[in-house]
Amino acid sequence: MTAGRVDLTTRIGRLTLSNPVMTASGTFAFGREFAELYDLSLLGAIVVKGTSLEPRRGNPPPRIFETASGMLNAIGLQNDGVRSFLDEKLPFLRQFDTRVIVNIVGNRAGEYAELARILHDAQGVDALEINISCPNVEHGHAEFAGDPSATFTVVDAVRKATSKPILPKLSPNVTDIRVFARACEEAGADAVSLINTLVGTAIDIRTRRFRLANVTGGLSGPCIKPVALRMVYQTAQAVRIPVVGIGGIVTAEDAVEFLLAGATAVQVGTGNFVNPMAAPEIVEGIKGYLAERGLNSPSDIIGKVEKAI
Amino acid sequence: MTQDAAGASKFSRRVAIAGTQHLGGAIHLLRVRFPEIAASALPGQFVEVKASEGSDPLLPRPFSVNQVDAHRQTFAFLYEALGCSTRQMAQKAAGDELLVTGPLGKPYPLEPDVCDEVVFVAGGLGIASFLFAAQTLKERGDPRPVRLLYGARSAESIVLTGEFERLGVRCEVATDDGSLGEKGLVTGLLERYLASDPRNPALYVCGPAPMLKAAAGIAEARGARCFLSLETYMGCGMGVCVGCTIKMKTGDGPDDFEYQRACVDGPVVDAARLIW
Ligand SMILES: Cc1cc2nc3c(=O)[nH]c(=O)nc-3n(C[C@H](O)[C@H](O)[C@H](O)COP(=O)(O)OP(=O)(O)OC[C@H]3O[C@@H](n4cnc5c(N)ncnc54)[C@H](O)[C@@H]3O)c2cc1C
Ligand SMILES: Cc1cc2nc3c(=O)[nH]c(=O)nc-3n(C[C@H](O)[C@H](O)[C@H](O)COP(=O)(O)O)c2cc1C
Ligand code: FES
Repeated sequence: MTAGRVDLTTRIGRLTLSNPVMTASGTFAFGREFAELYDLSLLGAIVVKGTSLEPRRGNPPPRIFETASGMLNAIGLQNDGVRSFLDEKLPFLRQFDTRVIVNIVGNRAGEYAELARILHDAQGVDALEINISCPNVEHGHAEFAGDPSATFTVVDAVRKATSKPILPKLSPNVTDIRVFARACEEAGADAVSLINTLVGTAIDIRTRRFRLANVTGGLSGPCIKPVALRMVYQTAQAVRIPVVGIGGIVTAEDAVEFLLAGATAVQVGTGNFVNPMAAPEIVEGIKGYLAERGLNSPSDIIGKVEKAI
Repeated sequence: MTQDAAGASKFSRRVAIAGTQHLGGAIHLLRVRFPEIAASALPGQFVEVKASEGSDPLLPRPFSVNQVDAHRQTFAFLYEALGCSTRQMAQKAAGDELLVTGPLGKPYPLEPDVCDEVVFVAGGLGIASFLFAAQTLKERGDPRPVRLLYGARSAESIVLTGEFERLGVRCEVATDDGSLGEKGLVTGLLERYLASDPRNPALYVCGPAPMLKAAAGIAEARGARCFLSLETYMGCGMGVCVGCTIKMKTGDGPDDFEYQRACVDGPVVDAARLIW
């Protein structure tokens, strides 16, 4: 085995990661819990839970429900606000040799810009992921993610507020995701992350009630992987900036599919719940996949998918 | 807040089943070899177990630690094969693998200053976590009297009472159909016990939600300390998804509450603070 020769170093524009595997926002909190299981330095990057200017209490329970090969969630972006992130969460994350990407969320373009200004000054914040696509809060989806010009406005406002790398995170709940990716590219985004969850619901036929207090929730997990993979493939063809692939990744095989489809890096979300060791196992698995084929770098397979016939 | 350095205090891997035992009805005991968890788990804590290889079902499920062997190499959990994962577990045999993560959650407060009499109140499979608690008190040489009030549908669902008795626990049983012990609900046993004016007891209650609610009400009326072990629907089981929230009082006003995570701020909670 020539595993020693594989170098997983990954560049997402100006952001350099030790490997292409990140953990997805909202599925890894702020790292503390997983640090009790493994060394977070094994990860390419950690994308922290969606962080807003002010604390948010989140939605009433029930907030999650398992569905066929997936789960619905309507957490409602419960978080303690950006100040608490900087004071209480960031210092812990900074002990690890990994990248910290802060997922930011607001109600107006000005709030995103304000968050970006606050985080711009923070040592140890390597990049911002702009969550314009959360389906579970009132203003999240309709205003920014459903309208390319509103997407542009938000990304543009964040771009002007910080020189740190920015990665808008796109919603799959649109007709053509490429239009939104291009709007982000025009506004100066360094890369795009996709996909966020698909809006869905579930009903308990015994009680005739919705399973979630919020009625609808975001669908994630292996059941959304084919949709995510298609969108990553299409987007990678449509923009020049790197694409970070997200959706249903549980194993290294899943991650390799995304790289082949054109993703420069991947995020593991629900997979962290399925198998808490999923992310470090995926890092090793990608290394093994490359080594077995005599390849040296993930860049050797990015976008290298070919037609079936 | 402490900046504790990275170090494993939870463990997650595929482990082999060391043994299985059918206890009656659809209730089984499953023992796995996992020395780190066996050595560090505390009573009331749980593990997340994934029985399927693929995504049906997708998420692991929480199970209480039921007992730990004397050498702290293996631990066991109890389950009733009714749902998707538990039916898959029932198909497994020694040597087969499960993905296990733990130990997770807050343990029962069993310190001597909490009460003068320890009272476990179990409804159905709610019995699962109490054997480990009784074992632990015995090992610690705790001199306080320990009592178990235990209710279930029928005789075949009453399990492990012999083990409790061997540990010196005084057991009282009630069944819905009267096939074992008294005919009636465990809450009846609890009412009668508290009416006997026991000296500074604490109740540790685990079972279906209606029973927890009833027990909490009885405890409040009698002014007894009461800890509930909640079986909240969970996503990650380790505090990251915030999907398992419970509403906890932070004061006396109508808006004095916060959403806490049942998996890390619980599953054991003080009944006086829980908002149903
Ligand atoms: C902290 C904690 C500790 C727990 N400890 C234990 C434990 O020690 N032992 C234990 O057995 N459980 C325990 N539970 C509950 C257990 O995690 C759930 O019951 C789990 O959903 C079982 O997984 P499953 O896939 O088999 O059931 P699912 O398919 O998820 O079904 C959900 C529930 O519905 C019930 N159900 C499903 N189908 C039927 C049916 N046809 N008829 C009647 N009921 C049905 C199941 O019993 C189950 O409780 C605990 C839960 C928590 C939160
Ligand atoms: C419980 C939960 C909470 C989430 N919270 C956030 C969030 O705060 N911000 C965000 O951009 N995405 C959030 N997501 C979406 C994920 O980051 C990811 O985009 C999505 O789940 C698809 O990937 P997966 O199938 O690997 O989970 C959340 C997902 C889940 C399951
Ligand atoms: S189950 Fe995920 S936070 Fe409790």
